[in-house]
Amino acid sequence: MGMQRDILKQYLRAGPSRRFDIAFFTNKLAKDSPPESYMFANAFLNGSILFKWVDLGQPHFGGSARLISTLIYLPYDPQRPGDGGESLIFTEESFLRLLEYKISAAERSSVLGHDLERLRVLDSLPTFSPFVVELAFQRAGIDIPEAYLQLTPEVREKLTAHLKGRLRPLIVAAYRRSAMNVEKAVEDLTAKLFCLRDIADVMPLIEALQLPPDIAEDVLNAWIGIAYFEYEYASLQPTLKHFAGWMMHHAQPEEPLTRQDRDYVASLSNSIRQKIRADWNEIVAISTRYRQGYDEMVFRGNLEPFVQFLQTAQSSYWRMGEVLGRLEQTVLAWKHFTRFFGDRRLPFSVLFEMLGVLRDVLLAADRPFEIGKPTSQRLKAMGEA
Amino acid sequence: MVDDRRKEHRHVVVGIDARLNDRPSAIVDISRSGVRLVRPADFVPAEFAVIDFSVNEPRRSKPRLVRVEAHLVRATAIDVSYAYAPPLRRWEAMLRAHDTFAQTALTKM
Repeated sequence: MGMQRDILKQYLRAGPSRRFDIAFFTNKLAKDSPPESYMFANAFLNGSILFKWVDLGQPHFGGSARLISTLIYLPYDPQRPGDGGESLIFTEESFLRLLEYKISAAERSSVLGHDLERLRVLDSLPTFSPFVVELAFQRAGIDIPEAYLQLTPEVREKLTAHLKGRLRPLIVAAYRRSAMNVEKAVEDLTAKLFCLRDIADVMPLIEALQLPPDIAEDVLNAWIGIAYFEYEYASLQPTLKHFAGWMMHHAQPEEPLTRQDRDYVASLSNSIRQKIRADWNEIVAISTRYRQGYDEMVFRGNLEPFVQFLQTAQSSYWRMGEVLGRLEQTVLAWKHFTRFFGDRRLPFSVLFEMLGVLRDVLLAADRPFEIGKPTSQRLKAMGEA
Repeated sequence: MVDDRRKEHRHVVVGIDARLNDRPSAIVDISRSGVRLVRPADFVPAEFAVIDFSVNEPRRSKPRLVRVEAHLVRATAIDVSYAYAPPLRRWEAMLRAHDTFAQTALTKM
């Protein structure tokens, strides 16, 4: 499929939750690195950039909780990704067609499973936040090269401690109701739930939470993901509130405007502010429901609110991932446009461009990219929807 | 004290470790004057215990050590709860600073 250049530019400027720049990490490897140092077995994929892609025009997997697809972007010139490239939304079928197009049948069979399995894991997530990616690969039992995960040991340790600290009281609350003898196993079970590979390990918890076994693993992973997202949102909160204050007081140009332009800027700023407030407050509401359910279960022994929360955990998890990507991108765009101006008002041309970008990030349904290359050179021309 | 504990805010903390009679024991939750710990294997609870908290603080290279003498409130197969006199004037503030939910609280815009 093709890409619109302005949308591509925005995605290339997105933060880590929306953009996984495989090419960037690959370029940091020594030229003579052994094959296992690379993320993918196919060389062309190691020059790709992956995006979390919200296509509001498409039905979402039969009405399931997923709102986000994974888009594989292959720049024509890896040194200049903004100049255009090929892209496709990842599905098993589209990936097989990409391989048919890119490499010979003999090469294909040897590397197919390796890369498909990695892409499946990445596609199963609403975000490319390094911690979520690392955890997902751990759960899937797949070792990926550390060079592709920019996660310092300190950050990893801090996040792990936060999540395990939250899991422990829940395990205790759930197993209290269990007939199983788990007196020596709370820490072990906390670790198992954190890195869930086999639901049999935590079956009493699943029973206590009244989860249907066939979806229990996804629900528990979604819940841990929500706990992680709270951490991400809390980190974003001060900057986002600073941005909201800036929009309120400084989103007017330094030059005098015609009434028409002034009305247009005011209306657009207002829509952007309202959208941010609505998105943010929706996330706060998810977080509040999670905390109330948790408190009731852990401190008052009342399971019902937490069980109810878990019933919508998967859709909340994907929603949190989607909104995080959008808000993170908003803040990055704002920082980019105001980097030379501090808290001063912007020149009209800069403000106008910034509001346009924010409108596209926040208000417009994402559109397919359309890049300046003939249609015949796009993967869309291969029959991609 | 038990009744008071029920009224106190219970913190789920990160960065505070505990030793119960010198045996490592993870904190389930903790309040100003009470703590619930994961019951160590083969631990036989007595009426009184010594609990050593080791509090990691960002600007200190070594953790701060805080000892309390505690009396048993409840014991189950999984956890043990103790009550104690608050060891420091700033104890509650210290607990709040390590509360994972307080650290990641989101407020409406």
